[in-house]
Amino acid sequence: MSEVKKIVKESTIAEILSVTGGVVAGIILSSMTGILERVPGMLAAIPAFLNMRGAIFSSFGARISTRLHIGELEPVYRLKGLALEEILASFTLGISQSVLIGIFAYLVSLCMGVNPSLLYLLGIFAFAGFLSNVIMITITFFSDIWLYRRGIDPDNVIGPYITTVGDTIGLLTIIASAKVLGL
Amino acid sequence: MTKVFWKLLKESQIPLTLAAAFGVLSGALLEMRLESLISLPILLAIVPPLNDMAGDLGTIIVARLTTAFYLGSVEPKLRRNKGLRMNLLSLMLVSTIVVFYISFILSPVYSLTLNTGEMLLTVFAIVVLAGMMGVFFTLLSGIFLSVLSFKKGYNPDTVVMPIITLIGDFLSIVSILFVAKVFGLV
Repeated sequence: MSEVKKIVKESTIAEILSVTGGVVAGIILSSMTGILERVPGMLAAIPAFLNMRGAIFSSFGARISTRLHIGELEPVYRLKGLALEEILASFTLGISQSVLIGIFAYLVSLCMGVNPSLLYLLGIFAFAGFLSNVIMITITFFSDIWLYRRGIDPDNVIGPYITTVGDTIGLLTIIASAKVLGL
Repeated sequence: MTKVFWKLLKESQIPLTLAAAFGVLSGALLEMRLESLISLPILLAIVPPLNDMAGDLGTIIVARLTTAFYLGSVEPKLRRNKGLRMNLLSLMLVSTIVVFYISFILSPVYSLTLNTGEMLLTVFAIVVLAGMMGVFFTLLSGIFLSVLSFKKGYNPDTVVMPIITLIGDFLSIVSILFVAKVFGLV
């Protein structure tokens, strides 16, 4: 019984923090109905786009944290050496996966009989991928260093923190991209 | 660029591509019901928090079971297993608390967008039922895959963890659409 209590107590607190970010993202998503109507196929890509942000940047944050712990990286706010390579690799993955998601959404929508625009889907997700990459890499890298310098283990914080802010930033950059493309 | 850059790209590209393909298939389920979702946007609002919850609790059960299997505190078998049942029930209890929390913090949005009290109760019921249903099947999948992979000699943390959030996304979207259909909304 004490084990059940422990699981419920610890997991509920973490979970409530995590879903609060999800609720904010949900409110943003529910305000995007106009864009979703104008760009067929976009809704098919959104869960994959949000999931991918979390996967790439949680992993990036965890790797930076490990490198700080084992002394491969110095806890300084400077982009050079290994830190720069990690950033470029995550950036490349983020962009290539965003483009791929746009293509997958186009193909799946075609199969569903929806009439998608490859140009719009690629344009929106490539630009949103670029914007969210820049924002998420900056937030993740500097948060990792900041936490480490204050004696807080980034491994305990960065995962839930990134998935919480990642959804919101992902959706806001999709809206910004659609606006840039005049949609 | 040195080895680190190329190694990261090589290791991550395949799992991320598979995740993207599976994620788009989950999203396609929503796209198929676009008209209904646009006419009732509150159903769109519940997708990200319920997806997050199913994915998070899925990763918790896989991580907990992996440790328990290696420590020997839970046996890696599916039938008559108190350890598995305790983990499942504990996390279902967490999901019960969290779905009520989601409903509670979304209620100001409900009351702004929904006209009738009856509709408000319906959406409240959809969040609770779909949230718990999505989590329940995600946890069952996590348990089944963890036991199976451990028995086959693979570490569930490595093999099951990357796919459980995708399974969680898929199952929570299916649950939202199913429960909304039962209530005649999609």
